[in-house]
Amino acid sequence: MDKKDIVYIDADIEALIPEFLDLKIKSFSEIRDLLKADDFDSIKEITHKMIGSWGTYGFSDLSELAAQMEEKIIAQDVDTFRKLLVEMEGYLENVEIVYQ
Amino acid sequence: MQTILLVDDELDMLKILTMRLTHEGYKIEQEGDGSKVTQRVKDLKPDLVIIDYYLAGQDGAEICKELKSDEESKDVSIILYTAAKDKVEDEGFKDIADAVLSKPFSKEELLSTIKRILASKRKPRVLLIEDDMLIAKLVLFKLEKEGFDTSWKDNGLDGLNEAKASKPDIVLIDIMIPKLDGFGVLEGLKADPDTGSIYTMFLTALGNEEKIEKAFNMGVDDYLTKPFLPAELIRRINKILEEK
Repeated sequence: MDKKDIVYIDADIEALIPEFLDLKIKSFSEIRDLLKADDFDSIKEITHKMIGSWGTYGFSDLSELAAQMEEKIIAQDVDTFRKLLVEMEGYLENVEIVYQ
Repeated sequence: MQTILLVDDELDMLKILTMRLTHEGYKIEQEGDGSKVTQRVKDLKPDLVIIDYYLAGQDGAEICKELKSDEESKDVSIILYTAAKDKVEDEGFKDIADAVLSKPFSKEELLSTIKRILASKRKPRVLLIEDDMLIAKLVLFKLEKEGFDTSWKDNGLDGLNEAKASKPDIVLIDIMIPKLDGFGVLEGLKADPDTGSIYTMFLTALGNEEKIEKAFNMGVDDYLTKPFLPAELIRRINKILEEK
């Protein structure tokens, strides 16, 4: 069995997390559509917001990942960007959220 | 509009106070029967009760004690008025009322007492100008939990207009926002004498630190870099408001 990553989130905001994650996960398909259209400016905007929102909600690993994604899209390094996007999705599939 | 419940069994007193306070922009409700006051307060949830100490067949102090001991009404502010202020003060009014006025009192004395009490009870108001709905939702949730009154606009133009209309205690401004960026909002606030002294805090993403110097030169009071801990944001807001 794979060892799960654990992220500790403020129990106060537990009620906000499901909608937050749902919207974030939906944004992944939006990013893929934008990649197909080579709309790097819009992708940069989304990843830039991700840095702040992931981190502010307590997902600091994903905030750092989003910062790397922003760098890659600015450099138009689409292959690495795609790998980081998959990494972000994989993290969410595997993470265990502990509210404290 | 703030609501005041006037309690007096003298119709003339209710009339004159209603006229004066309505003219000052307060919404006035009247009650002449002391036995109904607690229920009226529960139903109306007024910002303030102004009550005569001596009501026919009723003791204003007892009504105040009843209000303060009931979970639903205990937070309401109360002004007692009486022709025997010394006696009331000797009896320890502070546990049951926020202020005591001695009859007869002037319009100015009444208004200044009302304003002082309502200002001391008022929740600090925070306007958030932020286009990231997820960040906004979290920040508003935490601020409201901490007892702040909040409002939110998702673009700079609406945010500036809202600040001018509602004059909050503090405005939190994201730099990269649609229609008018954070600097434009700050410039608009500072240029208007009505909003120039409102406290401002920039919320800025990593990488925008070089813009902070510009913001400080324009008069911003503080800034916070995203991502931030909501607890840190609240600590900074409280610090600014305490200094204010």
